[in-house]
Amino acid sequence: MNSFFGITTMIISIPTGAKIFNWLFTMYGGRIRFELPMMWVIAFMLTFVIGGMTGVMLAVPPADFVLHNSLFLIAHFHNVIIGGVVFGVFAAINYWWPKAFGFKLDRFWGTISFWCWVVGFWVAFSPLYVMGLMGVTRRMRVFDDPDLRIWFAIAAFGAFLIACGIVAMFIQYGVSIARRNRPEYRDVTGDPWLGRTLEWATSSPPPAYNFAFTPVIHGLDAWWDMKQGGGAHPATGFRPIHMPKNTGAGVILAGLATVCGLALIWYIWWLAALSFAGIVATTIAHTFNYNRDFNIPEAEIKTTEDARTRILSQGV
Amino acid sequence: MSTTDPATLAKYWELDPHQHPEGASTSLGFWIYLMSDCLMFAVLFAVYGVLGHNYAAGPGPRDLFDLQLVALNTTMLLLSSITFGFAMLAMYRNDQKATLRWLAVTLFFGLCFLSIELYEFSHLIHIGAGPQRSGLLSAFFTLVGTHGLHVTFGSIWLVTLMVQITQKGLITANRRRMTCLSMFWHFLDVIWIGVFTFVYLMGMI
Repeated sequence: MNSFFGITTMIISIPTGAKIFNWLFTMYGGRIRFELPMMWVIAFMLTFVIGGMTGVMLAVPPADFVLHNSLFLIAHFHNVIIGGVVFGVFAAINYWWPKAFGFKLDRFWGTISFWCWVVGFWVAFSPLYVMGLMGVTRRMRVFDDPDLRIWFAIAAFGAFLIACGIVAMFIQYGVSIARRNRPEYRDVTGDPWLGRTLEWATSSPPPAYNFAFTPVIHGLDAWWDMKQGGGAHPATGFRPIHMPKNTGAGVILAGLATVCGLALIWYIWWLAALSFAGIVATTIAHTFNYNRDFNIPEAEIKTTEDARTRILSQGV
Repeated sequence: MSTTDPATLAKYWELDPHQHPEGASTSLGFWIYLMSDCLMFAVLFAVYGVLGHNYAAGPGPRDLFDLQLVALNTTMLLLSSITFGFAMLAMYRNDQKATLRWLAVTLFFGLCFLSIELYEFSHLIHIGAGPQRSGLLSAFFTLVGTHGLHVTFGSIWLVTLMVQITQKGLITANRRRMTCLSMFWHFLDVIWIGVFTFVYLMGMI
């Protein structure tokens, strides 16, 4: 079993390491702009690499026997989850927010949030590595050794910095929403970062049909390629677009499944039975809906696209 | 930003009309679903492979299983697959009545299978060989019970589809649903062949 766990952990870490090189070589030779998404991406890579390396340490069974259930494990776990998932999600939120809502996020509060989060993360979790190596176990109510106090104090200060980062992030959202109509926040072109991929070829937020005509792709970085070719989009010749209708079935099923899961966990059998019957009934009811698609009329597409063409010609 | 000559536009945008017929991607989606279900059964088979010899000083497969009953059960499920095949053939002939008739026969065999399985389960629990008795029985009830649940939901789907065919006839949407349900039903048959071989036959050796 030891070798099995050791080998499977190694099997996870090797392709992950290869991914890190993918991202580094994607950046290599490029002109890197330190916008908020890029800052979060770099923080993600640096943090995640350290977390990954301590993970490889845990994959070595003799080390794992000593470190198992210690604060070293806690530091490792948060190092990969916060560094690997949370920072990546923050990069994505800052990057695609303008595409989803039509305005950029505030840079000042975003930067404050970034530094509080990243510095706070390291101040909070580095002491846990140290204490883990000293043999401190997790989930204790009381620690008798007063020598540990300073390490916990440092970690608590780091947690405070992270809290500041969280508050700054909510301020960033609030400020950006309040100022969304100012020209420096507004994403008029649909391409606020001078992007290279196709989502930036349509407006922000995109119309329900995304593209009036399906884009033809000639290689990587399709939107960059289009911009090299003039970046024009057709202004005439629209056709109705076949679309699926909206349906609440997915959300209703998810809600019922949440109730059912909760009821199962807490042994509330009547509620579990009721919500499960609800899931089956909703599913069957949904299959009786045969009228699931519609066409966006040509005139509506023309109105939407004409408005966009007008805005684009003003901007340039 | 304003180059609008037709050649450039045609290079980057698909200007000719094209259709995505409704449901064109359903069969791919359904295959992905079936294969993910297959993975789940693979895990349950693996669990049975690991736990299947842990009797906890209790009964082993030879004390528990009645091969004649299982043979009858297997026959019911295999017959239901054949009759579903006949339902599909009737559908291709646009014979709605025959389609519904064969679906009803399929449902009958499916319910026979479920009844025999429930009888087997209740018998096992009655003699004290419930899922909590040993590792073998936990794995057995999980694997065979999951298959039985699939047949149960397949039967509910079958009844629903019979109502829908009665209401709307053999329209394109219903034909697509028939194809999906037929794949699901045959898939359950394949899984049962695995259960029959791996759990019952090999348990008797």
